[in-house]
Amino acid sequence: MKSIKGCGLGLRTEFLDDIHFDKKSFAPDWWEVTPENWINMPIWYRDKFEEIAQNTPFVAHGVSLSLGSNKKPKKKYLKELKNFLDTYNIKYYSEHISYSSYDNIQAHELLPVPLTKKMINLMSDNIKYVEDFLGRNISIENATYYHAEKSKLSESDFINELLHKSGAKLLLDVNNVYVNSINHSYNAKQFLDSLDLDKVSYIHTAGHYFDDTVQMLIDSHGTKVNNETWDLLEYTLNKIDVSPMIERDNNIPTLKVIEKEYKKMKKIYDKRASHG
Amino acid sequence: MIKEQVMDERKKQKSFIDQVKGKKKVQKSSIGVYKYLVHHSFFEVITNAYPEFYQIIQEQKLEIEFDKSIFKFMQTKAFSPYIWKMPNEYRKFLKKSKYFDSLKYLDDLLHFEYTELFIFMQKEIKVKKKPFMMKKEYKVSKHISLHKYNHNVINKTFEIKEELYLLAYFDTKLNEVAYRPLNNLLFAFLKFIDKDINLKVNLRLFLKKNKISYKVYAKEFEKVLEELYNQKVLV
Repeated sequence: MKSIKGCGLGLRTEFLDDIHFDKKSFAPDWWEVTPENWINMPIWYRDKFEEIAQNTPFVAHGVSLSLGSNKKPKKKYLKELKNFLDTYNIKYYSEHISYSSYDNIQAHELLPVPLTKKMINLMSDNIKYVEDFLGRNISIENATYYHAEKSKLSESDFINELLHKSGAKLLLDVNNVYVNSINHSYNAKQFLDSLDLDKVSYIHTAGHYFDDTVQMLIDSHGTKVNNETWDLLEYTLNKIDVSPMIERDNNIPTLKVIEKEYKKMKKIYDKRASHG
Repeated sequence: MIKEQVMDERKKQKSFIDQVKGKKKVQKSSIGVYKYLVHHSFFEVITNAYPEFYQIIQEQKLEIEFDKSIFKFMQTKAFSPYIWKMPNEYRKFLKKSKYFDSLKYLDDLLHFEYTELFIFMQKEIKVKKKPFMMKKEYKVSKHISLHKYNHNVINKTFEIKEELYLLAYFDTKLNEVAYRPLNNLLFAFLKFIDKDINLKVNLRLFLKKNKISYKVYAKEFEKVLEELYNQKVLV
């Protein structure tokens, strides 16, 4: 990720009509795209997507590889994914520390993996398999989890060992760190300090909300970024020089609204850079 | 050793996923959160893809059966990593199940509702435009829908059984999905076409098989086939 500078945004179909390429128009330094949403895209989005790809760098963030699964990702899908990454010259691809399918049946949700040495071995094998297929070193994201089995390994030990064993980079989601820290009662900054931050490729931020029914924070990507998450972003950027971005997947506002959040993020990022 | 390791994780994950997908009773409220999230995601995608179907579910108060069908589908037949393909997997699942037995037209309705999405999601066909010739080989494009319905899905007369041979394709001039009812003969011919044989020979073989005069019908067929070629139905 070192070669991509600045700040990013998740590209959503809702933004397409408002994306222009003259100097006056807003554009992030780079866009993050979810291949599952764009490999087959509706007819009316295609021309604009191509135009954006030609003007702004892309990074890709997948949701369905299910690296914590008992089965390896299907070759047919990996071929389509590689073709997509090659077509749009996307060097950086990331996935999640989770699983979303079991026995090849999809859950279409990121499910928590057991924090065990055995799972580290399983995921490392899957990561290497994917990397060999795609011809790219991939990043893996620390996911939110609402349920945790008792484990001898702490979450940070699990992540660090997985990064070490697999050779993957870490896509650090500071919103997920915050949500997990509240739901599972730990100190978010101490957690960040315990991670191998040298392996971070880039950073996600997003919004969350408190759900009264389950009495937990839910990582919804459906609200603006909370102050606590901005604080964690700033804290992290004071430690490492990487690019951050905003994810928004639900209740998607106009690009104009997201632009305000982007500028807030950019300010934090630039402040850190000027210290550097 | 490796096999043992995998089996151990499998047990944990299997138990978790069985609870999330409603196969086993949820043991902890934190697992219930996932049950809610997964079900919600399936529910949203299916009801968005099938608005008319969901309206019927509500009108006929079939919500409980609908929920049961979603859970069973989640447990068994949701294979594609592409979420837009999920509604079609659900349709195929229902077709082989006993859910909604009273809705005899269900598969027709779901197929018709999904067709529009299917066509919108197809990759653009970049065909070099050459004049249409009966002496050339053509095939029916994979990007269209050619389906025999047992109800008139266009008129929505679901109470009456009526065969409808329907072609759906993307009309590049109008920028929308176009529907064209076909007669059963043309429908059968489009299904009959062998891509390795030129269209003229295909037509001769087909008409002969159906004991129809080539001399009488060839011109009529040629005209329609040229139209279909121009609409990228034949490629």
